[in-house]
Amino acid sequence: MMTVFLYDTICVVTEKSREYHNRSKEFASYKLRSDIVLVLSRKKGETVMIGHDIELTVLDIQGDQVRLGIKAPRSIAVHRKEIYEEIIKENQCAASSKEINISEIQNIARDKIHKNSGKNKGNRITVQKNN
Amino acid sequence: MQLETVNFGVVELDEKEIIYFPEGLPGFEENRKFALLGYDASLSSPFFFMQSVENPGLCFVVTDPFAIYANYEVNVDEEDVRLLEITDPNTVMTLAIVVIPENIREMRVNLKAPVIINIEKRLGKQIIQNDDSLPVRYYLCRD
Repeated sequence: MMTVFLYDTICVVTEKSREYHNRSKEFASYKLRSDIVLVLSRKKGETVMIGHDIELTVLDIQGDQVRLGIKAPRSIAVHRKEIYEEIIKENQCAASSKEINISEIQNIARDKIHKNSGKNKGNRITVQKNN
Repeated sequence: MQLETVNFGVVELDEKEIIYFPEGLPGFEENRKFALLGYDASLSSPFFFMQSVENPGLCFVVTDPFAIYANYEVNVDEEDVRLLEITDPNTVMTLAIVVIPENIREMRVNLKAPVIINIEKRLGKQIIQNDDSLPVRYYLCRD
């Protein structure tokens, strides 16, 4: 049987290397960490393979910006690390919401809520309002 | 079973209602089981709660992103379709996590990473969307 990988079209990720420079101290400590397997230099147009099906290509370097092309099977989620960290931070903020007063929320948000589009289905358990 | 919660006290919960998150949520990877709780069984309120079954103090306010953001769209890739065992799009529920800060008017909704739930199989995952136009912090009350 043949294995066929479906590839997404190359997606372009622009990373600001400025942030990277700002973290040069952090980088120094990365080098000591065992989970960094390889540190290497690449020129424009050169590629790094990760495993047998992920290709990372330096598409362009302009000043302190590096454009990376990522070719990977559809099954691999490719995200900027900042986005993932931002989601974690936002989840932590959401989890620390205290003293939730749903009717107050609803009053304030009332005019921002459209009629439910009907795209959402599902059930939930009803709890008694305490107070 | 009896579900202990900080916000709602003890809630009677049928174990079949529990939603399992195989990967937890980003930042809360250890919390795999959640229940959807609401004050209003009629589904007319777009705000409700995603309460951790394992941690009584962990509760997210969630909302229906389609009700607050015009033309909201969600993409689920093949891997996640498999993970959530989605066979019929009609069994998918999409929720967005809400942050309610002290000043309640500054409440915001994460549209970039909705929670996708297969309501038949009771499987869920928070899935980061590639669409860069979707904000992580959508301020509901700002114009």
